[in-house]
Amino acid sequence: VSVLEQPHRIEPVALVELVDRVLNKGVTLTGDIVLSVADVDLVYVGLRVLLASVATLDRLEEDTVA
Amino acid sequence: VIHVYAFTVGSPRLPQTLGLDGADLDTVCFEELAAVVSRHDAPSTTDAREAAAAHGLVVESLSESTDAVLPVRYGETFADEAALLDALATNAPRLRRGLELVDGCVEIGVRVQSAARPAVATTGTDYLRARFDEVSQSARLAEQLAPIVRAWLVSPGGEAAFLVRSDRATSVLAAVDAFAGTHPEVAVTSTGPWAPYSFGGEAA
Repeated sequence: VSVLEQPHRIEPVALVELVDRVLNKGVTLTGDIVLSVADVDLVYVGLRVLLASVATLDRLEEDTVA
Repeated sequence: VIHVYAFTVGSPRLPQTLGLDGADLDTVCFEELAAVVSRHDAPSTTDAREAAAAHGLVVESLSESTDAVLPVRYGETFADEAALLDALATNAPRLRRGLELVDGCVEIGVRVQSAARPAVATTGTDYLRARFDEVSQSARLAEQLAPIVRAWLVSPGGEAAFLVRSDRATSVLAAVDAFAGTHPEVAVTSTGPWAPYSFGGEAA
């Protein structure tokens, strides 16, 4: 049975979101996607992830637990 | 051809969900890392959108029963197991960091759209001002949520992704709703919880 014909599995809107995530996000092992136009490589620049520092994180988690 | 869905650690209990083209799921292991895969003899004949949805459903089902899951972008395929193992060995440190980061977490997506953003931008300045508002409101939301999230990311488009402990997903969604209530100048849409697609170990 087609995945898209299983409406009980997932809502249509959620399905669009899911497909969007699967195509645009997630780990890649083979490197950044490189688009070539007329032999000039246009390197896709990945988004930078902003992270709470581990120290801040630990402190905040302790505060929340306490 | 081997199609890769996600990475995890140890021996994950594979979901009942079938992979692309109805293929069974399997794991390929490198040290403690496990790649969840399906094997295919012939190129897929499935419609691309349907294949992407099947890929996503495998990842979501896996993350429901497994603590640390790093989703792989659709389209990662390897000629054979040797090629996959080679890529695993090369990327092992990054995958380990990513798996440690997402352990026990889900992702909440938030889209912020300026109410002032015209359907068709009249001038470049108007368009950029609306975009700027969206990004700054996303950043403001991220600051507010910082105490209850593990990590976050704001894309140049004003879309934010929050990595949150599974048991805090509901409170984070409630906090996003509260933010939306106090900021009528922007339309705020939240989605999830999802498997943590945006936190793939590229983190600085």
